[in-house]
Amino acid sequence: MKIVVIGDADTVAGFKLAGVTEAYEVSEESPRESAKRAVRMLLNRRDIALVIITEKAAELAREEIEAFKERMYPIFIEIPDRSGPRLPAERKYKEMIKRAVGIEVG
Amino acid sequence: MAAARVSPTRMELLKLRKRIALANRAYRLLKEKEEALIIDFMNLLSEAREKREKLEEVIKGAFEKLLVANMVMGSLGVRRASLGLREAMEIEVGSRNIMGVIVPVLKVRKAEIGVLESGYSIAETSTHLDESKVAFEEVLSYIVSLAETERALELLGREIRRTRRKVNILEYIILPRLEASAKEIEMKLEELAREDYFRLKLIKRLVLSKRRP
Repeated sequence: MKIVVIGDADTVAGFKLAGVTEAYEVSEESPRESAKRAVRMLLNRRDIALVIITEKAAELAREEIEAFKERMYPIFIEIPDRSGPRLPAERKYKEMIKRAVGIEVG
Repeated sequence: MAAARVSPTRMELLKLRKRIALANRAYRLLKEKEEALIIDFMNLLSEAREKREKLEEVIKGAFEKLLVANMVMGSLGVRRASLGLREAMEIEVGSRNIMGVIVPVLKVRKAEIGVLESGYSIAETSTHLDESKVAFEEVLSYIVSLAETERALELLGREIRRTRRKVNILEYIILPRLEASAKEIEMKLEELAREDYFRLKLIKRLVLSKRRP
């Protein structure tokens, strides 16, 4: 199955170099619209296993990504762009831990 | 807790006690499952954390190399070079089972594509570009591995919540309800026994008084 990259020009260039053939660049003029459009375009695809998306682009297209939640594939993975991670790795998993093993009053 | 209406017979009580025993066993098993899932979850979590930190480190290095390549060749030159690549990275998917939860297994695979006769050639491109290419290939392998772990975490987390919900329903709804029903039947049976006892006593007194001359 395929890999898709969504992100800024540098991210796209880097992964294309690594052999990822399908990439969508988030434009600088309308980042929100282009990020959303790129994610939405993948909805009907069944040949994608992995979507590599920059944290910034994922933030802009949060609702669109949510639509994939019940599907096994594609898996979305958020990566930092050249300006570095937005949150330390520790913080990223906080919400996940809280929901899974947090205090449950029942 | 309102008990379900059942006829107060010994048979019913026996049936109820069997159901209580069964519910108790299910409760214990689910509780054990939840605990085992949490242990797996925590192990995967520290794995994910390590992998993510490593990824952040290697991707930083890769962007630095790309920056140099961009400066040497121009960003257009970099893009043109990636157009000529002869191979594409693909993902082979599989699955594995963690405590009954099916999680994906991902593997990167190089697939040959022959669309352009003039492939990426080392002669035409700068060493900086080659270094960037190698760096991003490495980044890609870290990403795939992290994606697998993060997805497993998510699925395990879901299963933990699902299991906990079942445990709670048993503990706070089903078991109290069954126990309340059993208690009600026991009380009714005791009452019937008392009534019987007094009835017998009464009969005995009547019989005795009649016998007396």
